[in-house]
Amino acid sequence: MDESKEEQRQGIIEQYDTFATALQQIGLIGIWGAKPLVDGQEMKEVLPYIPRGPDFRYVMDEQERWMTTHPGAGKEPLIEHLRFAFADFTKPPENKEKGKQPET
Amino acid sequence: MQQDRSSYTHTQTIYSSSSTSSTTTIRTTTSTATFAAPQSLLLSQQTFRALSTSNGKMKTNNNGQQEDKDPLFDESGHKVNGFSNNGVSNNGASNNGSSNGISYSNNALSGQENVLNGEAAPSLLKPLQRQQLQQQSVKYPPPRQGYGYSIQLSDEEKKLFRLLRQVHADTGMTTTLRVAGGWVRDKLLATPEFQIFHHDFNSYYSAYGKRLTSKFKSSSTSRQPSMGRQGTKILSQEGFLGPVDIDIALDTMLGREFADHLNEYLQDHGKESVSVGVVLKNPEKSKHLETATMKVGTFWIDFVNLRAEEYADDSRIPDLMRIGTASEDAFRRDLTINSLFYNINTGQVEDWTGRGFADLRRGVVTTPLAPLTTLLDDPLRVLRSIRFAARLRFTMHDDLVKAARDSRVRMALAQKVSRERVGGEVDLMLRSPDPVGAMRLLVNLNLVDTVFPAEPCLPDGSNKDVMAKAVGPLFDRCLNLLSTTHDHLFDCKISPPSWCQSKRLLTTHNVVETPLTSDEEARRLLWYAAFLKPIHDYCQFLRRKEEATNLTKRAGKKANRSFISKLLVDELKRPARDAESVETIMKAANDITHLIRSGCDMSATLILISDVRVTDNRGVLVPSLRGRPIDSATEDDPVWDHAMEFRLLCSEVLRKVGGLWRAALMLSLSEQLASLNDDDLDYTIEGDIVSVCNSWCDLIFPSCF
Repeated sequence: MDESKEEQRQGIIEQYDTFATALQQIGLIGIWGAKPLVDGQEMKEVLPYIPRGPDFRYVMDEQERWMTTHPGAGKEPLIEHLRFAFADFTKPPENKEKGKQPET
Repeated sequence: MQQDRSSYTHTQTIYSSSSTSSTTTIRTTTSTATFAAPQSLLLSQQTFRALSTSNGKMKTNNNGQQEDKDPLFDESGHKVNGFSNNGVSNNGASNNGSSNGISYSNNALSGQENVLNGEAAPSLLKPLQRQQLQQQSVKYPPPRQGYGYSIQLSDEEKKLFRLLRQVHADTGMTTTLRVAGGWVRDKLLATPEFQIFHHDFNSYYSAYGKRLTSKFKSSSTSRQPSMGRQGTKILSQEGFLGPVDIDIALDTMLGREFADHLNEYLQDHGKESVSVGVVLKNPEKSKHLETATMKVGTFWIDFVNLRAEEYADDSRIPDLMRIGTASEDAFRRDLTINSLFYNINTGQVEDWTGRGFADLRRGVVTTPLAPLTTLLDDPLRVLRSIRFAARLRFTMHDDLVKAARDSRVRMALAQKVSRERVGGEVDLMLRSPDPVGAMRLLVNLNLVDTVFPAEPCLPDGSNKDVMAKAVGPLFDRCLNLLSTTHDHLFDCKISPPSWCQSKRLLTTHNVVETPLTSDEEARRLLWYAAFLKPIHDYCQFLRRKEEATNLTKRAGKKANRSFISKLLVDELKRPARDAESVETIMKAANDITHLIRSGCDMSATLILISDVRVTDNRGVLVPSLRGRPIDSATEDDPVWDHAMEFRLLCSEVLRKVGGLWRAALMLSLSEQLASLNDDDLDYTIEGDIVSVCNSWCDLIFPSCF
């Protein structure tokens, strides 16, 4: 009875050791210090028609997600990805918004 | 130091008790070697045997179950204690009690011999008796003194004391200068005479580095209130660092007057005078005598007066405070080990209560007067006793334990002591080398509800008082989780897992890491988190239940604050950032538990097997798979994709918890380990672990396995 408990114990500890080692091995320790490759100012150049507000936040979050899943991939592929994913923001808005534009 | 020792030539018999020298064999340990080395430090064979016996006993008793069988603890503890209860007031002077086990002669300078006789007739001192005691204390015999030459003074301290003596001599004053309080205690503990009793014990734990977690398997079996030096594993040994604050007590002169003399002297000798701060007396805030503070050299010195309190018949608030004698002052202090004075005039340590030396040596926390009297004088002392027991890893004396359990003490603690002071003590307990021991004492002395009042912190809602009743029993689980966490961390210190070994602290983005075993700040927060998590979880559970039944949105952000924030900030007056960090650790621990339960441990195994790596090469992340570098932008190996999925999931948790991730991981792991030991506890809220990341449940991992 006690033996199985000790086995369980060791099993749990091993599980966590594996988990922590994996975190370390895939370079996650320190991820909270990661800076975005494209900052807000630059993003306006990458996606010239990006609106302010929640959409902007969403784009920045997507950047973070992409950078996390593509470590060390560099800026070029990132920009390519963003332009592809947010193709809408690379060209002038459609007619509907176009009509509104002079008002604002 | 060497000089000091060589002049220490008299024979010092510490214990010559026949009862202690009978049983165990002599053990040769490293500490005895250091003890015997200076030739001038003569020890009788018996003493040596007594020491060895006590050490031997400690070793065999390290499971903490038979600690009181130790002859030193049993007999001498009793005898010395009888002294506190009545010996003082009745028959101080004419004792010769060498027959009863503990005769004690120790006098370097005067060669005087004071022998203790303790005829036990324990009764708590009534206020009337205490007045008698104070009147008689004038006639009270001189203190035991000694150890002056053993105390190692730093050069600054020597200089300071020389200066003070010169001022004393020059002005022809009659006052006696004494260093009081913690400085004396810590200095004495650092001397070889006292270290012999403590050092050996410490080396035990560094030498036996096996995993011993079964010790705290069940909190119900260890009902002993205090483990003392037995049975506690500690992570950090608080070094006997010399304190920088020195309290100097004067007997016939006000602190300010002496400070002025000191300044005059400094000026006369062409030195700069020092500004003196005076804390005026303020009887309403029970500050009855003024204190002068000045900075001399590297020291902050408080000049205070020896104090005597005079009590009205039954009140425990002193209505008059006057300058007292050293004896009066010593007896009104909180603990015997804190009542020692270092007499600067004679260079000797004075033990006016007659028990300070012995208690310091045996490692006992007890009060100079009857415990209940001392505790009721200032109820905070009950927490201070616990803290000193944890900090020095001393045992609490049985009588003190009994008094600490008294409901009057509990009431007084709740009503008379400010929450700031309580919170401060709690924080110091958790900073001490033995946070588990401290919390165990709080629980076993029934003080835990008073110290951590749960009711005001519960979410508002129906039958709050009923809900509060359920909190009490949760403290057993709190203790279990705290000790499991502590013990596992101890095991990690002894045999660090590969990811904790300092040379392999792999980080990215220039983040610097410290392992928990050497990160005291993170550890302190972890202790808070571990001890309070079961209650916090319970509150979250109540909160969700309340929200489910009452669909009304509760008012404002303030009311919506978490349990932990209300408890630490409102009730214990700790800084808000502490509460936030503790909450962060608890939340992240839940997240990690959730990750591991939803299969992330399998992903982790896959990552290790396939050797997926992302290393930081001077700021550039280099990904590799199965030993070959890859381009993460184009790589489409399913294992890589899976690993990156894992990376994304974990990154969300890590970004939130940041540098406290180790504490969170440790807490999550310890919860799992603790639940193994929890069979006898009813785990009703096991399933209610809060998950901030519910969406992850839905995430289905690709079938790589």
